[in-house]
Amino acid sequence: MLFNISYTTLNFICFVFVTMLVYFLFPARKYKWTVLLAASVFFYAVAGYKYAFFILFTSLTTYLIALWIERVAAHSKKLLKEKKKEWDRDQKKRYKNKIKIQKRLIMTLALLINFGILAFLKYYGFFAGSLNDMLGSFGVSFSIPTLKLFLPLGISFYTFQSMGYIVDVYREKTEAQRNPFKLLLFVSFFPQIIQGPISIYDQLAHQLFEPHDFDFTRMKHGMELILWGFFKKLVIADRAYILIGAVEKDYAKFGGTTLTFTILLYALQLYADFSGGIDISRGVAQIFGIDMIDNFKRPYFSKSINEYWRRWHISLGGWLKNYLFYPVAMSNVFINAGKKMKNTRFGKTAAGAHVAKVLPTSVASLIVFLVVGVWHGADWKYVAFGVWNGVIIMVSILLQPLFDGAVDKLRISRKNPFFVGFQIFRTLLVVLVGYVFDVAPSFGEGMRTLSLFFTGQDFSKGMEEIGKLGLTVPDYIIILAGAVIILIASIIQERHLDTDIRTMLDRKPFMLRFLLLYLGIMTVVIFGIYGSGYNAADFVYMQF
Amino acid sequence: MKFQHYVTRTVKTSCFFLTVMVSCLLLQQYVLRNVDHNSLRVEGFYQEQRDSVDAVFIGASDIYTSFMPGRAYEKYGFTSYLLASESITSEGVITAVKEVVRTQHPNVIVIEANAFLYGDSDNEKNEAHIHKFFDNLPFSFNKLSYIQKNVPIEQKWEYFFPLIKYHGLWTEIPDRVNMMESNFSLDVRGYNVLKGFRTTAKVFKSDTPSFNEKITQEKGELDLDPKLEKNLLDLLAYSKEQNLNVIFVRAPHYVTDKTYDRVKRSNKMASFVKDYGFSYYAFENHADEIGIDDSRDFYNEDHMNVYGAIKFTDFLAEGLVETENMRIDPMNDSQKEMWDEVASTTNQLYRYCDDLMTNGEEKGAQEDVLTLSALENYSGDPIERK
Repeated sequence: MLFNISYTTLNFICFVFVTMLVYFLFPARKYKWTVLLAASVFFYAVAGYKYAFFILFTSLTTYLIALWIERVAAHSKKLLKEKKKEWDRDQKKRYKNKIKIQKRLIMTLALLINFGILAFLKYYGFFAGSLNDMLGSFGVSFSIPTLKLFLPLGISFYTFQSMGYIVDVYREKTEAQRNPFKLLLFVSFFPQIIQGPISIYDQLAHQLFEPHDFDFTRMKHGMELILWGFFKKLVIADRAYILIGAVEKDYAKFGGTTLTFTILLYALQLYADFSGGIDISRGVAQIFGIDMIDNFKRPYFSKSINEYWRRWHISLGGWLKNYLFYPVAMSNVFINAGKKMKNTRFGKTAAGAHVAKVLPTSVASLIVFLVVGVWHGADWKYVAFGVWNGVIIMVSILLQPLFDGAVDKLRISRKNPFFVGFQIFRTLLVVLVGYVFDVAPSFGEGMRTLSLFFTGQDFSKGMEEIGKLGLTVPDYIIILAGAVIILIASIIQERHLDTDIRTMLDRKPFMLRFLLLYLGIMTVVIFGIYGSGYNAADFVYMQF
Repeated sequence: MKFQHYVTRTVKTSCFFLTVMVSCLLLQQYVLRNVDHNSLRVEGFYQEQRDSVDAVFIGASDIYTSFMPGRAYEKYGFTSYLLASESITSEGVITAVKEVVRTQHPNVIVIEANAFLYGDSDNEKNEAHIHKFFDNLPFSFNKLSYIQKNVPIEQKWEYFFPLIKYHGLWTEIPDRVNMMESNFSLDVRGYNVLKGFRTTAKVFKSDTPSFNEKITQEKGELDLDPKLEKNLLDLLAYSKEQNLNVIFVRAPHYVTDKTYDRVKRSNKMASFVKDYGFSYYAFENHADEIGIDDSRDFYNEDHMNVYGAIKFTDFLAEGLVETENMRIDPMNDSQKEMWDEVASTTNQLYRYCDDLMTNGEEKGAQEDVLTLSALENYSGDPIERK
């Protein structure tokens, strides 16, 4: 990094301000997008110039392969048109299949190249280490060399985003971009490069290329969203990380109470960190007139783990649903397996019919969550994280009729607030178990932590340990107050799904808005964790 | 209608950002700020009326604990200020000289040698020492060029907006109330009443033998650290180029075997200074003439207490007036009134410290509300040296 241009620095604020000035004053309206491209290239060059080759390579291969796929498709359509009368139905079908395979092969080439780079850089060490361990346990002295590989900034995000575009071109849902620089902007747009959201080409690209004029309301809303992001990141997440970081450093020495408290705090820290970062990204984009998708919809209000994953990291969930879940669940193998089961004796029963019906989706869910786990990191603990979530979802899909029956028999209204509260609490517990594998340094430590939840609780020892982990009483008060503010904002937002809080705020008296925003800024200025006196944490998802 | 809406919106937005900026500046100036004697001293320098000071003393604690501007005024009639900061770096000294040239044009600039005598250049990178001086300088080209040249890129903002560094001090507000009040009262009063002097009421007692007698014969030289030597040469070249009346001094110390090398480096520095045609007075070698008593006049190895400071002040001030023929500019009535108060407060401070030391109490004494309120019980009449 040439200098620190992370989202929570003054450098970044100045950078956005200068980019904004140039963008809105740029005389050639048609080419305003070039300002965003220049800013994105500058941002990437400053933040990760050593890795620029990788993003350029991905952009170039994506650009060329998308054009290739489109050319093949266009050529085949032209030929089919020409041979409309010459060829019979079978010939046309054979040709179409041939073209389909050709297009698929080209698409696979793009996926292999780019996911190959990602997999090699991110997982080589993991696989080499695991394989060496395995060989060692069999007494084989041969070992695969381990390499010191670096991970280019935002590689997972831009790889997923550009491969989504390739698949969309393959599916003919979108046209291939003819301007390589425009595609480079789509891949490297600076507000999303560090930690997403992973955008879909059709949703984002045209917004990037259209010229946007200065709009006061957009600017105000964008800045309010940035402020909200700063509040979550700097006041809450980075403060909570002081304790979490201290525990992570010496994880094995802590008892059950401390680890339980750490996991609870981690739930808050992770949400505040990731959603705060996304708010900053979206706020910056909004200033330029670009709406990026919301990555979070109050996930801790979810009543099931399925719903949780529709509210948490929505863009990753959406990507996996579009490009992994559906292709797997709708594949011939899975559909045929379901059909086969339906024709068995078990399949003829009510339970069997349900299982046969949902088997493809539930197994596909398990596969998707395995990928989610691996996406989070190259470690068995992340595999466990994925498997845990996948199994819970799979089981919940398979046993859904059983749960529904039980609720009906017990005559519980699904709108009963206590029942809703119970569902939310139950979901939160499942989520927290998954978080254990996030925080623990290894799979083994994660399992130990789970057992300590039940067998290792010692309140007084825990209090003593927690007291030495770097947070003071005022810090806890700030974290608690911050969590309450997030909770209140979430409840308000949950009750007004047709609008957002910023629009609601616009309708309040000027003095109230003035006061709220003033307090917001001063809270971040005074209570934020920033400056060289602090070792502010990187965004948690930046490492992906 | 649309225009009116546009104007109202612009006014409201401007008011909002103005309120935020003013709040941040007030917080930075009075609340979330690392106020200590260094900040009150440096800030006090900039409160001095332009071109009103006859002599400015630049250096580290060695000078602000050993020279009493109030005493010099009372006895020799010249005005002076201590633009000094704890363990100031050599870059800090150079910037201070440039700031003096920018704001005061004194008849003489006295530079205490300490910043150039370290065995290595670690002090130049000591963040605390850098911040103690540079945080308190107002924005100027000199400050900007120091930051550009020396501060790592990720820390530059902190020097322009110290709030970035010190915003976390809200946790310490209860302990900092007195210094916050001192900072505010300095601004209200408009001048530093001790002109930067600070001391500790304590008599240094040590089993480590003093080498103060031995060093009078010491002619040996030891090379300066290359970086510090370069900075010294830059400073000398700048002073020559600006035609400044600069005098280098080395204040008396309780020299021990551990600090003996500094004496040799001081000799080396004297050679450089003299090569450029400036005066260098190593007062460490003149302890007898000054009348320094090793057993009574220090509060630690590096600093004199008020007993030593008053002797050194008399000796140095007399030298400046009589040997260096320092010009003393006339002053108006309001300045005279202020300087009479400075002299009187300095005398009160001396008596206060004398009282504390006689009773065996140890306490820091400086420009702050606690010290100044404690001085009220003491006479400001001229001191007769014991």
